[in-house]
Amino acid sequence: MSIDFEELLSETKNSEDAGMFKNLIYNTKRADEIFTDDEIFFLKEKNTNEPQNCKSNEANYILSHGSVSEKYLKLREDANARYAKIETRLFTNF
Amino acid sequence: MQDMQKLKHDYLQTFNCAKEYFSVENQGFRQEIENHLDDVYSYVLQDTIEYCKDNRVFIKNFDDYKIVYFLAIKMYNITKNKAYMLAMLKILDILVKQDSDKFVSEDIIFKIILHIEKDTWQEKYGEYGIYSIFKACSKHLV
Repeated sequence: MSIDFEELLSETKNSEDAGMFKNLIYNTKRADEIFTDDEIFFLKEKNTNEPQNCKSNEANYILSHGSVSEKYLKLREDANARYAKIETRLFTNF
Repeated sequence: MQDMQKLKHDYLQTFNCAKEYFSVENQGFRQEIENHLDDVYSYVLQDTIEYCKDNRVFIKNFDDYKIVYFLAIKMYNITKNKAYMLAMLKILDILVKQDSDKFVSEDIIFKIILHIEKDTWQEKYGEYGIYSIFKACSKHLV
């Protein structure tokens, strides 16, 4: 199965990041080897319980902006504090 | 055919999102994932497909929760570095909080970490248990 690279490459036409471009080609070729119609669409008629867009809000943000959001970084700070507490608790357990 | 092209493109994008999450946790993760890209990229996709088969889920597009989960497990299997598993918990924790008002309790996270430290998480939670705990807590259904 061949890939129409045009759609994929259009994303990087204005990018000066050659590494990203190479990465895109490489990964797309890998995907071409792995994807098959049988594998992906095997349950088409049986179950559609995944929502249309099952990505998190953050993934949608990254796809638009290229990096994680301020909100994510703020929540990460909170998570770091929470995990530090848990690690202290773990330490006393061992 | 058009669906298949979109699906490939979607996987590539979602995989790169997952890589971004891990890079925020540790810049070294990005390089390490890149170093093992050949294996990781295909195995994470295959694991995701297996999950969808096992759970009778139709793949319309790729869920970043799943990709984060399988990426962590694959990198842990390759490097034996438990930091990937711990980073995965933190990433999923943050995503759940951002997507909903719910959260996974500290007690549950404590227990999961305990099993990760003891290498008993697979027998305790099964193949998809940790992912399911976080996903069930998000606004999306498992």
